[in-house]
Amino acid sequence: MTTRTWRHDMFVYEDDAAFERLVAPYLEAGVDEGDALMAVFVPDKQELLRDALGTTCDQVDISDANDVYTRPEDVLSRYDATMRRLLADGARSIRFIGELPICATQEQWDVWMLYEGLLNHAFAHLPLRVVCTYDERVFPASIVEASRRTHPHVHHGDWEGGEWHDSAQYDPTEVVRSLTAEARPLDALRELPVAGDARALRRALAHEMGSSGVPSETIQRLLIAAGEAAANAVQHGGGLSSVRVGQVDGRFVCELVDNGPGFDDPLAGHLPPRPGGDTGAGLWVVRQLTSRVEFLTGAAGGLTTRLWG
Amino acid sequence: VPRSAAERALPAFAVRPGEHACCRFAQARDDDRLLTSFIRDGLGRAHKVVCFSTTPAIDTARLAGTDAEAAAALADGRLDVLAAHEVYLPDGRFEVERMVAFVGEAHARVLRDGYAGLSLTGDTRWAASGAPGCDRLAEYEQRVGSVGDDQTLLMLCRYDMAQFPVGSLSDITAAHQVEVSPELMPIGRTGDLACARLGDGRTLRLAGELDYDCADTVAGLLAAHFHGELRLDLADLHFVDVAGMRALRSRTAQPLKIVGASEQVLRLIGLMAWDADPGVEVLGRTAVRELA
Repeated sequence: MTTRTWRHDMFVYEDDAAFERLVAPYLEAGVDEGDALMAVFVPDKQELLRDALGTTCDQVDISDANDVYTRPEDVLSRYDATMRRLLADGARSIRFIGELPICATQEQWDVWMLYEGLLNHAFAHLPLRVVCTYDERVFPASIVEASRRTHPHVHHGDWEGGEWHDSAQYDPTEVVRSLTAEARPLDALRELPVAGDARALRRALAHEMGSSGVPSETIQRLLIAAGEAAANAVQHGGGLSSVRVGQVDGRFVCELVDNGPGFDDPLAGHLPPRPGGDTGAGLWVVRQLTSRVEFLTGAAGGLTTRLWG
Repeated sequence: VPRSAAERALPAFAVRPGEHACCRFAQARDDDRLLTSFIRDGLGRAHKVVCFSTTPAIDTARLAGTDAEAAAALADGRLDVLAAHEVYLPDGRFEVERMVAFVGEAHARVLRDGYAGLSLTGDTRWAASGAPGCDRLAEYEQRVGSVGDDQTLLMLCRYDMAQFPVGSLSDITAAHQVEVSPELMPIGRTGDLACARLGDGRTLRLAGELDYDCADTVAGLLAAHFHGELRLDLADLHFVDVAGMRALRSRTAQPLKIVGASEQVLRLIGLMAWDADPGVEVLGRTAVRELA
């Protein structure tokens, strides 16, 4: 048996029959090879999947895409935990197939295009094979086209005797970079006077959030996130130079500004930490504990880490 | 937000009611700090706080002058500072039975008086005087530990390393369930975090707040003084950040057992993928008692 390596394939189809002719042999081959099998589809597509697979369905862990695809941070965390559990339970390799739910706005599509880009980095160390299906009848043509940039291999049309083609447009890091919205200054924030140490910062932020009516669970999350951002400022950014806080769109926002040059890594904090690796988990934790993280590099230097509660 | 000890601005303290703890200190500032933490902790628990002091007038003046809460407690009787030699050596000699009875009676009396418990600390410098009976100190420490095995008595015995010959304290230390030894003192110096070594010698208890300011200190002490399997009792750790967690696992080859993990610690363990690390074992909250 060969060791399975990471694969991330894109399957574009235009009718139900084409869908069924791909999923059945794909997952049945997984049964033959002893893979753990996962499928994530909206209910309509689950029906097609079940029709195509028959009793093989019983061996597939099927989830509802509407429940799974909440926000990329949560999906990556959930998949990471699932993969680790399956491998710990003895699976030698994992075979996944799924389709994104249809988004209502371009902003939402951008979020999931960014997610598809991240996948190539997030799980590349795992014996995991992923097929993402794209239904041309319901996906905007621009999204199907854009997804060629986040999938190294593509097959378009009926699977019969088909094979995967390398995607010439594949460039996932650039996708993540271009879809990371440029953050703009928030005028609603005000300076929070903070004297030096970690504890003082925590006290000041806890007091500020408490008096703004922020729920205690959110306070706990933001205190850890702010602590990590402040630790980064101290370790890599020449120290914390200021802290700004305020409410924007009903959310508590906290900015930590350092004296450093900032960094240019569109993947920062997006990738699940790998067991045994003791660095790099910090920004992942920060992203997990906040609703949004933004980085701004000011004209006069200094990196601002903006945390949304 | 839960009102943790930290938010009441209490200095962190790593000894719990029901425990008989030993502190060996090499620097007076560490003893002063520990005494202050002990008093604040006891008052915060609505205990009667009693200190047997070698220099009662100096200690009283220092406490009254630097700590408003201690000053108020001295004034209304919640805190007593007594002369150690009058308590331990009332007739010039140390008698184990008499002293154990004294502690037992004091404990019973404060409960009758309506206190939640007794926090008792003794400075043991008198024992270096060579007075008759001082050689029975280890025996006393053994026996006094069973006076209050419930949750209403907290005892902290403070030993000045300079007063006792090297090696002479090992029997005495062994008579305590919990120890704060000199090499661990740097952890407490910010006041945000306290630690103690549990009786098995391999378990470190951390109390208070572990953040990026003290993470390096903690990592350094763990590397220097905790070899083999590391056990951590984190039940009294009210806050920890990512840097703090990393400090606990700076040596990834070291097996680590964690007891008393809070929701926050468990969440960070998951987010940092420690739950996939075969070297890390998280035991249930009830395991704390077994370890102690």
